[in-house]
Amino acid sequence: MKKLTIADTLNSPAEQIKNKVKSAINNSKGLNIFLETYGVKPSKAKKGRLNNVPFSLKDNILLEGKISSCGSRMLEDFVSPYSAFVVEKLLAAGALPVGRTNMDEFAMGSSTENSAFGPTKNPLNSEYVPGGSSGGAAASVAVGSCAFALGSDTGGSVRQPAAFCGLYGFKPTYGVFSRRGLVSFCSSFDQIGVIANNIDDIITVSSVMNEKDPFDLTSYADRDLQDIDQVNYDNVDLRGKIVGIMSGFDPISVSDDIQSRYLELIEKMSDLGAEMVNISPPFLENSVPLYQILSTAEASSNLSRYDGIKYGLRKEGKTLDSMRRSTRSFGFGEEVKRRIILGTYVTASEYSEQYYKKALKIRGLMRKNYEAFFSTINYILLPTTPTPPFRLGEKINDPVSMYFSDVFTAIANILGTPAITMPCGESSDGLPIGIQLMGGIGSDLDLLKFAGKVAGELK
Amino acid sequence: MKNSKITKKEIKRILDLAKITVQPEELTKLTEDLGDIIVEIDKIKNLSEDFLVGNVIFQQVNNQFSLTSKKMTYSLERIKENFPVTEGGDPVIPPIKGDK
Repeated sequence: MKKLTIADTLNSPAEQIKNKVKSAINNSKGLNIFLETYGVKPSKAKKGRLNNVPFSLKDNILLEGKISSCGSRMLEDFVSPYSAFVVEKLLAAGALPVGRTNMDEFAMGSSTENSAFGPTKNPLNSEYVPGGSSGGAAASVAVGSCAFALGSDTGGSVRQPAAFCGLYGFKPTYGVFSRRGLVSFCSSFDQIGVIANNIDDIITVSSVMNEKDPFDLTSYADRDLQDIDQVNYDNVDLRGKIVGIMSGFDPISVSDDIQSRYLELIEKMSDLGAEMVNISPPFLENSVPLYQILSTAEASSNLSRYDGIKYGLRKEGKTLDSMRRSTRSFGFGEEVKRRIILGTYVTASEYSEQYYKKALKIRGLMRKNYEAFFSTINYILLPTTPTPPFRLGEKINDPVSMYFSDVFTAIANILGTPAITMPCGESSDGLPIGIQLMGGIGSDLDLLKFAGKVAGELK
Repeated sequence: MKNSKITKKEIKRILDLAKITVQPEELTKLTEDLGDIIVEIDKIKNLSEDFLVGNVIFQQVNNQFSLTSKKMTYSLERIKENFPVTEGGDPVIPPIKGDK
């Protein structure tokens, strides 16, 4: 598989790129990566920094006039009335959308097996999952059909599939990318993220997409990110940087392969001059249950809008109530129902004090703790996932085990901090392994430069 | 069915609140799955309140994006640049496309 980068695209004739994209899409049809392709129509006029650069869109990010189904029967025929803010920015810079990619329904999952339109397979080994929920997005970059992909990351849904497909995946600080035009799952965690073949491309795309959106008051302009053109890594020094690491993972179960690659990277970074300090990230082992409580609570509220009246699917019923029930019962898949029920349970009046309100308190406490952490250390180095990619079907009937795929990624969503996964060797079975760097709030460009330097030294 | 942390009756009640109906076999699986998940989320429920209070007085925790936060990543001036149009200090939201 020949991968595409932004530099390749900008330096090649438009017709050549068009043919590459077309052939990559055709050759990977059996993997069920795209739910729809748009056809690549390169422009002769030069538009901007991403002129004729192909990219893919996760199926929950809106493109005006095109379907955005969120991998659900509920929105199978839903045509987007407008484009997401970040998509508008990319189109204005000349980028070309090649299609919408498969995903776990409403971004709920870690394997892209929960899509109403069938699972996506991992391009590196089709017996394995590509990760999720942005599995189609990661696979679209891995097969060379685009230079970068937009996904959404609520608990690790950009970083985990990027790691499973041997790619770079970036989730910025909450607010760096506007969420207007991203279909809501858990509004206080959701962030659009970027998957690409290298960090330079992630920096370029992030620079183009960052801007204050007047329609999303949680968004903000990061001038450092906006102004960056090209990073000179000679000016980035690992020396003097303090990186928090974990010397052991107990009680979290982590595969031997992941532990070995993690320790090797720690040694290499130490050799390069970074100061590696042993830490115990507070609440890490409780991040998954905390994430489950808060994300399902918000999801049950956000998804109450799918009632057969305002959006998408409507099933017939004799009364308004029966119409609503039959629509929701038919339209939602098993995992979405499970999470709506959990979210309804933890916010029910008799339980909300012990689950939802307590989880909110702990989130506040965690943010305070990590704020103190990041005032003394620069970054935290963690595995991206506890295991390498798993087989299709291996965890689909064990939701608790599936949820623990997010054990190292959900923390960045809970805190709102930026994090990036980098490919870091392979497992003994030849499957890709990702390691993650996390920075403090607003340290996006510093984090990307640091990660880019580390990645460059590893080559 | 194994001992679950939640009963079918309770799941039915929650399903009713969520406006979802399921088939009997689906109800059995949901009850089992939710039982397993509740065992996990009970770790949060069971965290000691003393532990919470001992570390931080929650009322003093500021939102990290709050302008009143003591430790800010960006200066107030820089944040205000994001709100070029203000009315008495409050940001003005432009009209939604298509609205008159």
